Amino acid sequence: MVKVVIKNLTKKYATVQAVKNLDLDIGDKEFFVLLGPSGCGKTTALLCIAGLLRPDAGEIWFDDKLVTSPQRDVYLRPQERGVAMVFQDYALYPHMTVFRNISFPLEVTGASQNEIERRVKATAELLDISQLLDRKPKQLSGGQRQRVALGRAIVREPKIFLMDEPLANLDAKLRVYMRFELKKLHQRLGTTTVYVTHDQVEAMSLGDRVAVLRDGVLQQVTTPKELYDAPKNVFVAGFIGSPPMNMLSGKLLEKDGNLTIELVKKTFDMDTSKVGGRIIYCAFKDLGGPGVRFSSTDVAKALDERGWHVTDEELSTALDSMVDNAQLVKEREEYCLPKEAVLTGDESAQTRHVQVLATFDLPSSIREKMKDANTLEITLGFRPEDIVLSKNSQSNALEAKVEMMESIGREIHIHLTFGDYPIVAVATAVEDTIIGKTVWMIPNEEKIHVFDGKTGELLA
Amino acid sequence: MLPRILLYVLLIFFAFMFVLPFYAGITTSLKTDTDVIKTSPITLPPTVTFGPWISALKTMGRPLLNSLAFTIFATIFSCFIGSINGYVLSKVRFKGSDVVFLFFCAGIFIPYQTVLIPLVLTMARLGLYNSLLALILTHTAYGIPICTLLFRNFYKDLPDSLVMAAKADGAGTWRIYQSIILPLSLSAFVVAAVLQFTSIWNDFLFGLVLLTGPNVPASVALANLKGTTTSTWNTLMAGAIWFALPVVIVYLVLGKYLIKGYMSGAIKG
Repeated sequence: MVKVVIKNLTKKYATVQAVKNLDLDIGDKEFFVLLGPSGCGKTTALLCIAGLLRPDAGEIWFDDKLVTSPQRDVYLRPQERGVAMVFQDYALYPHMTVFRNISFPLEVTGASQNEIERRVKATAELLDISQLLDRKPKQLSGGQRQRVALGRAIVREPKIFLMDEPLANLDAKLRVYMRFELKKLHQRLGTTTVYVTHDQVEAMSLGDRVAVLRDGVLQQVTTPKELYDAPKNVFVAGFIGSPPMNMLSGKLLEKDGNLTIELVKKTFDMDTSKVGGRIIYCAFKDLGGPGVRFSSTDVAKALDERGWHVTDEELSTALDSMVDNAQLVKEREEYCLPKEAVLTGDESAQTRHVQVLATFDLPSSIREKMKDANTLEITLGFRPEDIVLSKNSQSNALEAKVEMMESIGREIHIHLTFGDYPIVAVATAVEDTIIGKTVWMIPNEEKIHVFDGKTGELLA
Repeated sequence: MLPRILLYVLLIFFAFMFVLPFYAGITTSLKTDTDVIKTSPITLPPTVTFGPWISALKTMGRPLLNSLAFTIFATIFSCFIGSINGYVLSKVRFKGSDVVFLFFCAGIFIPYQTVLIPLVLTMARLGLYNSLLALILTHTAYGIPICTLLFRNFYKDLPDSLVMAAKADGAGTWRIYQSIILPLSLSAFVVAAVLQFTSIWNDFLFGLVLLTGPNVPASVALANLKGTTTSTWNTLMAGAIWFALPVVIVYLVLGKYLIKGYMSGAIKG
């Protein structure tokens, strides 16, 4: 059993910096998960630990043994490190039987025939694949291949298991089952395990601790619960949790001695006495609404039908300026309204900003972060389950519109729009009749997260 | 329906055109000397004789063995070296391996004629002139680029994780080649072997300039059949068939694998 210490690990590919100054402390017998979106450098870090990839800088220690250090020109081969790895595509040797696949690492080390026989049999029994030993990988199902790949790793009795998305190629049901099996196996063997995944559910359910990586930079290392309850920045907050945390940008300001958050709600208005307003009106009423694409001839036709005649030149100038003002999205000679656009009947053709004030009981430590400034740009985050919806206007509640509801069995996801921000709330029971209606949401004051609007770091 | 019939008519026509020379070759080789002159090449022999086959074999027996010897060795050597090269260039890799690969590819395009004089001089200095070893070396060297290309592209389709897994299992570079790469490249070996066997067997130029007397290869001996005796077409045809036989056998034996090799990209586990 062994603990792994990674210091300042850095790896650069031709143009991309895959891992930047990574520091990690992985405890003995720990199930440690590296979590992040694809391309965040988690696999690169794992390959460096395995000794399959040379980093550009940094050190890797297994207990008090230095295994990788480009500066000191130390680079132990995988077998000298005592690591075993499970790959995403299993990487079983297609021409060998299951028995030989599992025995290969032992053959390489020159173990005796008796020893090989005994250990392969024991491993096969542990993984319940004894009846498959004579088969070739091609004759196995996904789950069985997965077990063989695990067997090949276990049979060497390594000091550390390294797993690179080992469950990614399994179907949903099997994945949940194998997750449980992996956890059981780890409890039984107690081997230090480093596990790479992009699946937060896997990470949360398997990991003793989880490290979140983004673009090669470590974001946060902590227990799954802590990661969920106290994300250190906007990225972690948004990455962990499904449906994800709701985020609103706003300003922090002091009002009557209280810290108050001012949220900005953007709405789309139109003025049908102007060409731009007419285009927006047609886009909403005749051309299919937000997100539906149309060409300039479609608009011209729709305008004509409503009796609003425009010349081609007027139309193209108007369209161009609307694209510039982000009122329309242009893509390959086609236009559409932004997905979050909402139609209101106001008189100006500009995007209107509505200010909403919400007062939360914020810790005074935030005040220190504001320093002398009167206001501070922030991002307000709250999880879908931390919202209470009310049909009646209430103080400190945010007015939102219900767009859609999804029932996923034990809970209902309510999709709302607050200005142009999409919001998701989770409830156990709700009336169908509220779709399309205005509701007031009250985020649980104790569970809100306030992040710095510029850096994305947690303020409170 | 009609286009399909048309297709078959066309196919049969072309197949017939293709088979005709072989047919003429076989009928002529079974005719007596006088019948060759009296009858047209495509009529069946009035009296069947195996005399031309025997007389052709008398002149071509030794050259056929010569050819067989250097073709088999050069085929084996070039395939194995190509396979190791391909493995290193696709899976081991090193700084500049792509450039090295490019140089290998350029080797495919060197015309035989350009190297003739230096080749003969080198072989003479090495004391290998007029020895079968000279041909083995020359054909091995000439076969390495195309074999390297073939194996490199074949190995590129094998998943990298296979090599990484073997590395993690503790196998070294050579062990990975032996235990993982080599057993998986059977179909690539068949393709390369057929390609090499055919081209080395059919080569005329190197055999002509490097070997003389009893050491000449079958291709040269066959050409000599025509020059030395006065147009004995039956013997010449019989010689041609003797000469074609090994290649035909190779295709018959390995044909099944050959098609598999052409078709299969990666061997996915």
